[in-house]
Amino acid sequence: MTTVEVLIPVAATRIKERPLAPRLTSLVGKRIAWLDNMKANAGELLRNVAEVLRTRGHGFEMVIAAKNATAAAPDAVMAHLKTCDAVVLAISD
Amino acid sequence: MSDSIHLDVDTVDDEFEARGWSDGLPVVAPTRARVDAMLRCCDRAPDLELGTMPPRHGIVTPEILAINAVMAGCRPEYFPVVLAAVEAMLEPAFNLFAVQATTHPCAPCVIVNGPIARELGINARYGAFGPGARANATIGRAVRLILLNVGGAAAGVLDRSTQGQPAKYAFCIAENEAESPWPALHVERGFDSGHSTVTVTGAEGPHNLNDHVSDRADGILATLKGAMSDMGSNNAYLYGQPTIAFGPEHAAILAADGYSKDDIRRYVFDEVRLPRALWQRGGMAGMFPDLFPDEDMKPIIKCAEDLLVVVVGGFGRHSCWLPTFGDTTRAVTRLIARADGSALLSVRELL
Repeated sequence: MTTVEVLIPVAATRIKERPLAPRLTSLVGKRIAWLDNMKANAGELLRNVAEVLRTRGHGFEMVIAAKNATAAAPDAVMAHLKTCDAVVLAISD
Repeated sequence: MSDSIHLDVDTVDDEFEARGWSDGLPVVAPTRARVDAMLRCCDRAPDLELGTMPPRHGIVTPEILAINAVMAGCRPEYFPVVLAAVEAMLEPAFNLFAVQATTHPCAPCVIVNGPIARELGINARYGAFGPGARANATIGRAVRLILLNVGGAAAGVLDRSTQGQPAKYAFCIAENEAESPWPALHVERGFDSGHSTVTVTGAEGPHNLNDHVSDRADGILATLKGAMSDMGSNNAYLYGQPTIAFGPEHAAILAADGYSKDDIRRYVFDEVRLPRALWQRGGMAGMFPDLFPDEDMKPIIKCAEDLLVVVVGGFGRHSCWLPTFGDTTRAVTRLIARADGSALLSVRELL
């Protein structure tokens, strides 16, 4: 067998594992953002999930937000989301 | 310095495919000697960080680009074009993250202008979008391998394109400046005609504009209006910067009737429009309602200046247009330059 030494074409990254944010133990009284990616049915899905949670007694403040699916969220949207305790994102496509 | 592995010479292609390092085609084994030869046509340090490439955010260096260029079959003198194309794609305005990760079938289209295009033999004439010229094939393929191996855009993983498209293998042309009646693309975008540039757009594959019979501009314009003002493309919904690549015969007819590139842009802005009733029947209706202007007809570009116009091809009565991903990716033009930013006039300067 003849061998050849080849360079690996995959680039290194600096991406570190990012642990999930601590989970909320309760939604009651929390400020929850519902982030719509503006594609078909995302908003409807979010509204339905929020409604289900509300009917189950999870009283929370509802913050509606949206971002264009074809680009990163603008700074203003990110700043708005940072005022919330949690964000629920629907990625419709 | 990149890591290496030892492989049986007879299994390199199978190993690269199995490890997800190829585009599915056989590759040229990236040996140290071949990569070093590629890097001799680069005046940057091999480990210079040029940025990170989304969505995987691989670190971009001349060496990792050279490895992929070797795999693609590039001659070393093609490397300055590959490097400029990558630099262009990394500009924030290009929004490479979205171009890579979208369900849309767009791919970076690499348009080369200036004397280096001619020096390298980048095909601008018959079949420029197709096979046959090593420069087009391998520069385009190198860009794709870089998008895969540095950017991490594996189909179905971080590249979510529903169907993909053939141009995701290779998508590189030169403008046929010699047979164009108009200023070249790079000159229109502010560069010296004696300098060379790479322009990238997040484009679909070419859609044919066949007009065999018109000997006046109005006939050719009617043909492109019919082809471009229909539902289906992202530009119909989201604007953007599509390209029209006129065959030289169509370009000559338009120019003979007094049409400049700007006149064609104004025509497309004014006339290539979709009626509100049609727009609301499908496509992306209701998703981005603010994008439909107040009037009853929606243009496919936000302003005339957003249309790119080039001349590509040999004789024959065909042109094409290349729809794009939409307005969140912008065409970017980069000078093919030395490390100090000055124009590279010939690749021989690096040899």
